[in-house]
Amino acid sequence: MKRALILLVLVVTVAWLAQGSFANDARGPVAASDPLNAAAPDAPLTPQGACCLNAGDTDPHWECFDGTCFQASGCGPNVNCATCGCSSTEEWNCINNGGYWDSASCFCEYGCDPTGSQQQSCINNGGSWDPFSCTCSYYGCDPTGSQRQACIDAGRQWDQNTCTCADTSVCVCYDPEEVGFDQYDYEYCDGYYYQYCTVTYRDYYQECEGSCSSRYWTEEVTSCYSYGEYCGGGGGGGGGGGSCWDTGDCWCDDWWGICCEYDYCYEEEAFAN
Amino acid sequence: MQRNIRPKVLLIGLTLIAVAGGAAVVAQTAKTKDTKPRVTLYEQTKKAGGKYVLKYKPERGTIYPNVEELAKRSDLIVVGRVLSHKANLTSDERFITSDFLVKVQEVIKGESPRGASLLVSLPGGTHRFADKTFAVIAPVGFKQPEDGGLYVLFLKTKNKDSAFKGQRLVSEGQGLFALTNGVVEPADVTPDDPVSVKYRKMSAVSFLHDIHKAVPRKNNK
Repeated sequence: MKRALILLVLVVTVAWLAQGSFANDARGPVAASDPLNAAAPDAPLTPQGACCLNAGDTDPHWECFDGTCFQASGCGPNVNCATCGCSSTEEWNCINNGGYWDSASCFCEYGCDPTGSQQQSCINNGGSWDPFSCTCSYYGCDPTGSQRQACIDAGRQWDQNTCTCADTSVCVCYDPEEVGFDQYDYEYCDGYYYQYCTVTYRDYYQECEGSCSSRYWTEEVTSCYSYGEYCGGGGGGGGGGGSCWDTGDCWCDDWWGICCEYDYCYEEEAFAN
Repeated sequence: MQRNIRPKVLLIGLTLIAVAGGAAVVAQTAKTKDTKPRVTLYEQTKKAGGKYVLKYKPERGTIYPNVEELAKRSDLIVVGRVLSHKANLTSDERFITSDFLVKVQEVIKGESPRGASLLVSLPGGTHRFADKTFAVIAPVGFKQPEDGGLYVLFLKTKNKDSAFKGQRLVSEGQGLFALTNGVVEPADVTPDDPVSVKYRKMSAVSFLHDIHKAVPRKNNK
């Protein structure tokens, strides 16, 4: 009898232990805790400004990085997360690739020729494509596009390879002819180094037959070179006589050899024939 | 009694001298205004023998320490590419500007139509007169934009009475930055300019980030 009682006690104990163990296993998964025990994004900051040296700084504080707002440990001023803006990297990629960046919507628009079809069509037709202005220029025979426009306005078909209008030539132009050429050399001190410059003016004339009038234009090209000859520092140039050439708010400084009038400040550098 | 009269006489004498001096200055100014005509660049060029070179120092009356201060004073801040430029004699014929056609790629502050082109006028350039005489206004300490280059421009609203054709920079020296090969190159080449020192060689990304931080963000559409 005594043995049976002991056996019963043992069985009950084992059963109780087993039940407790199953009960523990039956619990659900552990609730997801915030990684690194970070505060929830919408949790109010609990500033500990008293620990920070600068007034207005808190620990932790909110910072912007590349368009996003994040909480950073340590003392610092809090930014306004609403003004964090877009990703500057995306913005730069957009601009650098010729797109239009809308910083209000953080959206890049490659507006005029996203597929490159216009560019291809332009090149195929003998034109020169400007990806930045999305314009096709046919410099060979119609630099300004005026003939093309005249042709279209006349209700005819414009051929940009030959610069002719459909059947009857409304406007046929010959190759531009260089009719004038001037070249000027000048030099000046840019404040540090001597610059040697050449400006070239080329005048062109293009004769057209038909409804288009002939055209005349000038192309100007400036190029400057420096050979590293130092000319700057120590107090300006020699000066140009120090007399104002005008009335009003004009003043001259002989020491600096400079004259200013309104917004304009001049320093006379060179007179040459 | 004598002692009281002497200071009075002295005071009256000094007053008379001051009044006479002031009148003389005013008269001289008026005379100058009347007699000195406005001299055009062409006249200066002729006087110089047919070729005339003037150095132009960008106005540096106010120096800003950073883009935050530049941004505050700008009516329009854009990132854009220079399509072309042309030198022009101003309407008063006393100055030359280079007018740059800029295709806007981003408006950071102010209003400008999407994808529009702006005309921006900067001091300096060359001009050939009809009689083949030639004048140059050469900017000093300032690198002019190049066609095809990408730039950040801090601009002010065009003044109706301005002799310049296009919009002008908010600061002649400090309002222009080239973004070349992903880095910032201020147009101002003055070595100790605070803006040049701070942003030269900075990455374009960080620079854009700084400008955006300085300009309150527009509300999303």
